[in-house]
Amino acid sequence: MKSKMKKLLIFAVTLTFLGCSKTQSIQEYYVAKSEDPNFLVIDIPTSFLGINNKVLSQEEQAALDSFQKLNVLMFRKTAANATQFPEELEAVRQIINGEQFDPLVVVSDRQFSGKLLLEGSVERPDEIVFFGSATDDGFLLARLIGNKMQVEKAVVLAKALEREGALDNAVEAIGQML
Amino acid sequence: MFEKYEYDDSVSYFSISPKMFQMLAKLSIETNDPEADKFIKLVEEIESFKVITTESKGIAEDIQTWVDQHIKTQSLEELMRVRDKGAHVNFYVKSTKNDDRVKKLLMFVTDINEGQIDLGDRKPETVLLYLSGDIDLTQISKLVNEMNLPGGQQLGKLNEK
Repeated sequence: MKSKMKKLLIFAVTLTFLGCSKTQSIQEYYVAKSEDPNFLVIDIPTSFLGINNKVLSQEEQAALDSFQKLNVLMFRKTAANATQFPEELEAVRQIINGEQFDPLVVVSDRQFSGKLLLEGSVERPDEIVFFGSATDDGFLLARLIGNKMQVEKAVVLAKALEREGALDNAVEAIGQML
Repeated sequence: MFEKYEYDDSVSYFSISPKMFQMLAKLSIETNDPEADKFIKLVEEIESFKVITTESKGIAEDIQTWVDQHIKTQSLEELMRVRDKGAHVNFYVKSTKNDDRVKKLLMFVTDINEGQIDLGDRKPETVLLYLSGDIDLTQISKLVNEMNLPGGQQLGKLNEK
């Protein structure tokens, strides 16, 4: 009786694991590929923008806080990894076609395809994903991650960032990183 | 139907989902250009926008079949039919009580001649444009013109009458 229970338990646990591993999450994919030399991973927290918090209005600050970081994963296609490319492309497509993502814009042509997706509600998304791929060059997966992002403030924020020269700071910081 | 050919090499596909339009409406973009403001207003009234073009005969036939069926199941009316330098342009709408406004607009272009549409090295044979929302036909003709597709001028004239 006991061993039967044990078997049942093992069965149940295996099933749970199978259920989980069936679809890889976008985060798991990022982590898995960050070790792969064919990939380039860039993580940019919004604090990288180097904005002095004191110069922002409360509204701007709240908007900025709702955006946490930008995460970029790039696969550069070369002669050496050309066979890996279709596999990776398929893997990413599987992930972003998952139910948690809603497509916003889809562009597809012979050489290039791009997709903008959203996770969460339209009013307060938790993640905005861009996936672009070019047959000859590789692909790029960018994720803007936040916490109930204040989308409607993006314009307000963009103006504030421009005013404070934040983009120049970010470019400089990334330049130093590379 | 549109999604089916998303990754097909002989197809160009472009789609903006209702969620994107909801989000754009929230961005409250301000311009000082009245033309641009009109355009933004137009965009806010659209719910869904899809375009598919293909140079493959087989896919073109499949699109034709889909259009025929869609007209029946959605009971769309033919708005007009245009022949523009050999290309056939058909407009179908789901109309409302207001003559200028439609719920759905289907523009179906077939038999396009080479060089009639400038899309780089592509030679599309068939174009299908699908719009839904609360659409002002007088504004849509401008959009079609902007996109350099045949039939836009005629659609504009239709509303001048």
